[in-house]
Amino acid sequence: MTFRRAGIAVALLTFFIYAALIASLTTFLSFDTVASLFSSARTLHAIKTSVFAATLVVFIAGLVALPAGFALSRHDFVGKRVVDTMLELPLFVSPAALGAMLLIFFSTSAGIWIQDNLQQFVFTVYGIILAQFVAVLGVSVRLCKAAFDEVPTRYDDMARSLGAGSFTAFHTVVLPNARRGLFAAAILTWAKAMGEFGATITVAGTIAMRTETLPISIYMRLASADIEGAVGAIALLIVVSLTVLYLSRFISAR
Amino acid sequence: MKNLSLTLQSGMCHVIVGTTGSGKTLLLETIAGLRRQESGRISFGERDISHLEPELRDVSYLPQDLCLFPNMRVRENICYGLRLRGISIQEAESRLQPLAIELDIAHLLDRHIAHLSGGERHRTALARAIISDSPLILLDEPFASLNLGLKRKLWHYLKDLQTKRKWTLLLVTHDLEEAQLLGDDLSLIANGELVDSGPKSEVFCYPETVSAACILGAENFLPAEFSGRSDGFCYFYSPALEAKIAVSQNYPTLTGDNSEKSCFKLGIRASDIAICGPDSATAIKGCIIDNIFRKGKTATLVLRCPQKNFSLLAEVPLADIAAHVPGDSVCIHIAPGTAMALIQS
Repeated sequence: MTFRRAGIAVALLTFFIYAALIASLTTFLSFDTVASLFSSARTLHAIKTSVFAATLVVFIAGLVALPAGFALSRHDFVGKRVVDTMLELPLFVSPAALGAMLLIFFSTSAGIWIQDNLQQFVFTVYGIILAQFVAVLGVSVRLCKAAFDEVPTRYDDMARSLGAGSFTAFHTVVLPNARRGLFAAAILTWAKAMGEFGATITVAGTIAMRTETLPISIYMRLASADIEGAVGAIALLIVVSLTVLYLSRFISAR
Repeated sequence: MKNLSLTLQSGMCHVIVGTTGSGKTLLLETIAGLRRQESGRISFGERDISHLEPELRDVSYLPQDLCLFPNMRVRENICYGLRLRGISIQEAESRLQPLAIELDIAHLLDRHIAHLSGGERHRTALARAIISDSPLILLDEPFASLNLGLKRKLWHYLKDLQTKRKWTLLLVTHDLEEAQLLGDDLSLIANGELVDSGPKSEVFCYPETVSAACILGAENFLPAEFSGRSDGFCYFYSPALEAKIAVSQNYPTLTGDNSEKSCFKLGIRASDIAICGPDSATAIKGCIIDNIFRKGKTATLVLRCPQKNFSLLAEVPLADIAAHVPGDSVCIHIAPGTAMALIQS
């Protein structure tokens, strides 16, 4: 077997591992379950909440990750290495711990003031968005930095020597040339936000028709021994996410 | 880079020739503002631009790696600088069309950069550097990867435009033919230091140091002792050749008072060495042919000098060595006044 064929075989194997897990869902999945899920206002609300929150989080995280990733990629500044290391915090701290840290923050005087005067986060939809934002931000910045690293700094230099200011060089040359990497970053951020559970449930709780995302819905159904309902929600999460991700890649490739 | 002082004359083409890694590109990038100098001053007339941002310097730069933007088509790449200066599309197009025709890229204007060949990329980058008529244009080996025919055509085109539009060009090259054709002034750089600088004819014909002659392609350097002056020549005795070599007494390194006491090396171009008969008055005898490399109408000879640990390169017409093979002993002739008296440092 050639090295090429072995590589392709392993790539297919990873697909089949996940495909087998998806296929096993059919043991508990019936047409009636799916039909009842789609007619359930609670499930539709969970889908809407999940998609809305994940999409919004991509944009909010992007607002921070684009300039931060660009600065980390292009400039040297005091504390750069510390900032870079901190981006891994959401990866090594478990999501539940991250949510707990958010809850603890809202118990401090600054957190209480924010909740009283600006916005209530704990046990609200805003809590979902905040928890997901905090959970994905590190990865998002890291992915944006990687996308900008792919664009040689010579392009910035060249644009500037032709008369572009640093911001013009950024948006006319660097940003368009980093677009593939940034698009991939957005997709991964969205997928991570869609599947976020630990931080979300800790901050936003499990209030049906209010703070119930699809992963929370799966947990709530499992907790109440509703296996068929849980399987249906898992299937929905997979279908919605795979469809969005595949379509995005398809559009991006064109 | 250290101790480097360079003055460019407005409307002239100044060429920098130097060895690889000598700091030529670094110099251009510093002038363009892409690198900060630790000390020193760069000025445009009275205006100090040392600490200005690159976009405020009004300097066009063509880097060696071209740096064309892959997200833009050829037209957008070339007109990028014009667009930033607020020049209208019609005006940009009226400048672009004749330039594109002359550089033979008119048919490529709507192509993406990824679909261009190496030569086409070079011409696009050249067009981008010269279209905006900047007061100073920096060109880093602009013709390096072009074939000789196209290169010669573009040299003439660029020289013509430079003369007509009175552009101030600072051009870095390895190609001596390019330097001779395009340059008005010439600077030689080695190891981050300026070795020689001045009008092209002076620097080319009368290099003063071994490094300068080396950069200008002189092949042979022989230790020599001053032995006297007569008939407008200074004579140097070369122990390697066991012969006297005549250098013009107007050679710049020989005009000072201490010239006779200075330590010299003689620089001799391979093309200034000829094969002659043993009866010639200036014949240097006893050179052995070590090797012959034939190329077209000429041949390069590797000659072992009478003093065996020295060898010389000579470039002679093929007909002159038709009857010779390696191992033969030949007489050589170095025309009086063609050798260079070089200071060793």
